[in-house]
Amino acid sequence: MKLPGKTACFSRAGLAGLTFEARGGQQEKLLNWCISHKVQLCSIQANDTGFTADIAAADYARLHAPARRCRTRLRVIARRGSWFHLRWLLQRPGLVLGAVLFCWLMLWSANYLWAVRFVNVPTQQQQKIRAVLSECALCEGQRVTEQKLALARRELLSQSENWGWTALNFYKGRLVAERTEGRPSVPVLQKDHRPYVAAANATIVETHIESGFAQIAAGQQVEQGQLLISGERPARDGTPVQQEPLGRVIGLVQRDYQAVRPLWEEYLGKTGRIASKKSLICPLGTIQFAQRKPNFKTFESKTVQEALCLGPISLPATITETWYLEKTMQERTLSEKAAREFAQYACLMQLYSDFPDAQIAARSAEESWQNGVLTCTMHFTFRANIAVRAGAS
Amino acid sequence: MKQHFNARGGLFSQPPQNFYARPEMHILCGGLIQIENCGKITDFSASGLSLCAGRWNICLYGTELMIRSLAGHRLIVAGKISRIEFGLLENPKETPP
Repeated sequence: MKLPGKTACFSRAGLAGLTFEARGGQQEKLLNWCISHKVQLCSIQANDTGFTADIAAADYARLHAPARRCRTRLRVIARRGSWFHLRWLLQRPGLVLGAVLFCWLMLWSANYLWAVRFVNVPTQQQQKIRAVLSECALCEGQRVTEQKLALARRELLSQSENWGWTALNFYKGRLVAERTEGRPSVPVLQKDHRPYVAAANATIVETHIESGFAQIAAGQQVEQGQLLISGERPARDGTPVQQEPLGRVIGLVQRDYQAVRPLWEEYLGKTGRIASKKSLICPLGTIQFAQRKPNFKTFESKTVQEALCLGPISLPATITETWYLEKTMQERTLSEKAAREFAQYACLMQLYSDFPDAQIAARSAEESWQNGVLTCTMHFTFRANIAVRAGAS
Repeated sequence: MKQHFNARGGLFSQPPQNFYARPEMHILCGGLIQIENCGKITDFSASGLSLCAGRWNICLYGTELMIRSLAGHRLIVAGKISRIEFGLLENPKETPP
């Protein structure tokens, strides 16, 4: 039996040993050869025909030549040690190679992102964090570096004002994103001594003055720009007394809003033609699938990223799919009813942009048609806070 | 040896050449005999072991004799040893092969 040279160390460490029997010939001469060549034997026991002994498996091969010279026949009785249990692996080198390759791959791919886990992050904000990570080139299958992590941390902190603290910890393929709720800080209010003026012509219905000096009373008619709450009043001796004006003045306002809506219009609409481009991001690089460059002149694109999983096991790969939706200029003809509703809706939007707390008491509409264009004028009577700071837009 | 040390300058002098290569024999109480720097084994059976060590021919007799370890020139013999014989070799170089 001949073992590779590298197995000698295993043999001497007790990983591979043999019990052999020496029969006939000059056995003492063989023993003396072992002494002079420093071949270690153990448990040498004489019997009627010769002796039995234990020897390291690597040394057994060296015994053949001297045994032949001494006319002694050697025969292996027993084999011991883990080497002989693992010897069958030599006939299956693919298994050993596969195991070694697997270990090497595991160590190598630990620098790549396998999974992103969230701690104390609601589902909606997980999407937000994912988007930030994608912008910083941190998705499953991409190499993680300190620079990328530092950039992602900065981005997260800058984009989330109401978060107290965010952390990104990367350890052996797993990126853990944590965050805490921020405590609302009490804003330091600076006193604003600008007076309140009327935002529109109105009849005052209610006044809620918190501080300052009211210049109007309920039932009074006010003009647009008229002073409602002032922040200064002269005392008896003539010296001005200042107080920050604060409060609300509810007035009944009558106002008209106008919107124009043509029956025929052009708009940038989707044609229904869709093209998609898939790519796989993995440690080997980015692999493009079915790369078809869309020949759309105008399109809207949308990218969806999905981490690749094998059941519950995350893999270091991400499938990125980009959808291209073609858009062209299209013509649209509205019915009269639809044009009217669109125009009335536009008027309402104008009203609520001017007075967000408006409560409409009455409304009426007038419409006129000219060359297929609807001009809608709506008269609103509503209650709203008409006090605005002087000089505010 | 005492004379040798004194002649060379006392206790701190070098030992003579091949001092540590000389044969030694230790008899342990557990039934083991350790022989350092033994030369050749001349006869080995279950009832006797004969070997050369320096100028001596040592014969161990007993039953169930076994060489527990044979590592280089160190030999450990175990078994029920009943008798040990020492014989002086006239010419140590002419030992049997």
